[in-house]
Amino acid sequence: MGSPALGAAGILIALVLMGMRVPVAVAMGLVSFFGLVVLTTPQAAWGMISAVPFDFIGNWSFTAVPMFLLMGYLCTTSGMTRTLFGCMRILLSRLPGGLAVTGVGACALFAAASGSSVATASALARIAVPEMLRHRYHPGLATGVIAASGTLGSLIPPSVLMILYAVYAEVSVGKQFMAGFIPGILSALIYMAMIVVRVILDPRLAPPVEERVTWQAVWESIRDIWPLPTLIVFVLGGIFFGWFSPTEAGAVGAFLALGMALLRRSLDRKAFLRALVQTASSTTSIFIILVGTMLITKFLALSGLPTRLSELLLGVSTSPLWVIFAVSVLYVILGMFVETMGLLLLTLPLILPVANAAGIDLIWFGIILIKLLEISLITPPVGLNVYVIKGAVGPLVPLDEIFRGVGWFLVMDALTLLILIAFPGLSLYLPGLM
Amino acid sequence: MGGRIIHGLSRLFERISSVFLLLMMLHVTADVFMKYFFNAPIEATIETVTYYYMIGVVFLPLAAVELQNEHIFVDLFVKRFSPRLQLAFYVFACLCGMLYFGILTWQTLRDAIRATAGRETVMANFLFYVWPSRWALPIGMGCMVLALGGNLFRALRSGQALEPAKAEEV
Repeated sequence: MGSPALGAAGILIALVLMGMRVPVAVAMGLVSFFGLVVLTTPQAAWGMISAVPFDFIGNWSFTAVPMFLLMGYLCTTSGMTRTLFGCMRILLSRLPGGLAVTGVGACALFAAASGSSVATASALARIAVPEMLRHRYHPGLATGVIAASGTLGSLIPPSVLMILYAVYAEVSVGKQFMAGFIPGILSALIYMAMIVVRVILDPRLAPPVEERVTWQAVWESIRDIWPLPTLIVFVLGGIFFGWFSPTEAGAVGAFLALGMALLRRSLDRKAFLRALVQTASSTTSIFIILVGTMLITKFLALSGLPTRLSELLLGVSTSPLWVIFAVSVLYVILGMFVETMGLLLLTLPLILPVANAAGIDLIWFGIILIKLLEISLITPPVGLNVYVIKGAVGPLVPLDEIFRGVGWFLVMDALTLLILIAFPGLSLYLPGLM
Repeated sequence: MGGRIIHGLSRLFERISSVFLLLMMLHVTADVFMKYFFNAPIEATIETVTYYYMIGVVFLPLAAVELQNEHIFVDLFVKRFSPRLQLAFYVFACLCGMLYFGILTWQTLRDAIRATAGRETVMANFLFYVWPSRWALPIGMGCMVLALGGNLFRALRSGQALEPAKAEEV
């Protein structure tokens, strides 16, 4: 009764439906339901519909997603991002291209409080980009740096994408988080180094900023910023040392963020309600796609396509490098059309069995996948982060200028990816200590 | 009139899901606090959080998300078409959505009725009923079908596809 061709046709139809603007969740779900009807019996198809949504969503590990989303929203609405950029600036603005380097640093730190790349990019776009433009930074650099650094949001824990991946791949969410830590820092450092070198070679990109830093300013900025690093250390440290499960860390983190915002009197009732409603909507739109993923997983498994695909790919070579190469090609192509969350959730049922069969460490594989997804966030034509920046800066900088500005960062991303592939230890060292 | 009812319902369920979210944060934090300081965790925290709060947060706001056009889709190709063709695709997408969520509503409704009749519980060291939370699925998805129908009606009446809200969060 297996029929890999039917599975492949299902994937194709789902992609075509998505191209016709059918929501990702609906395209995957409809194809799976009717695919199951054809492959098995209508009763079996109804049985899947009955089993999947409730049993699958009712999962303790998934509850970490709304908790970290809430924590991120609360940090943003309480104005912590604004002070963040100011503080980083005191530390880093003396470097060539100092404000851009500051942007990378601020994104990296905010990423440690936020689970989402788009949220990270949008949080800093309104603060950092205008500041760089005001100091006559090249518009491509000023916008590109935040679009690219925003992608650190998913690589540096906590990360919504990582939670979804880890639960699906049945690896520990906490370990997956820690695996992203060093790769995230590495990405940020490589971005910073590239900016410094480019500005030294072509100082017109970023005129030096004359700034006198007084001790009083340093002191004030420390007084303003301390809650954020404290929160991050507490939450990530708690996961690393095993004090909290990820859900507990997210809940306590959100609670502390709320407390800090109330202490600073930076959160009113309306902003708080908005944070709650936004978190709920984001959670819904993510998990309704995940229901589709689980349905399509069952459909594909029954069609035998994943097994056939593994045989095909591993027939060429069983080297992990070959599998990663094949997956990269797939992601670069599909990543141009399908948005990040949909791309991960559509492809996991196909590529995870292959990775498993090739004996690849799934935590390491997760980091490679996340990095690939982050690259698709800034590549045309659907680079979502680029649109976020465009939305924040308005008509000041044209879209293709931003895409061009991102170019150098893409080259650095490719470099980082190669390093991460060549040295799995960079990803696996911290989880190994847990 | 019909539109107002759909809007009202979707707002109501969105509010309820926000309350669940708040409860989730408070309940888990309280449990952690009790566990570390008094060595007395709150019984059934994990079950309550996963089977009630999480299910509520995920399924109840479906219609509200649809009314704000915030479900994730790809509009790369369609947005290049003429307005008439865009409307045609929009109508098609709404119908697909209604079919899918209609299927889900029907099946989850039957499950909810069955679970209620059998007073469904889950495996735990204590008696833990889950049947009430089964109702979140047909309610959320049923409202979703209504919301899709409402959007379809609005689009047909105005003669153009509804504009998606800006992607704010992924």
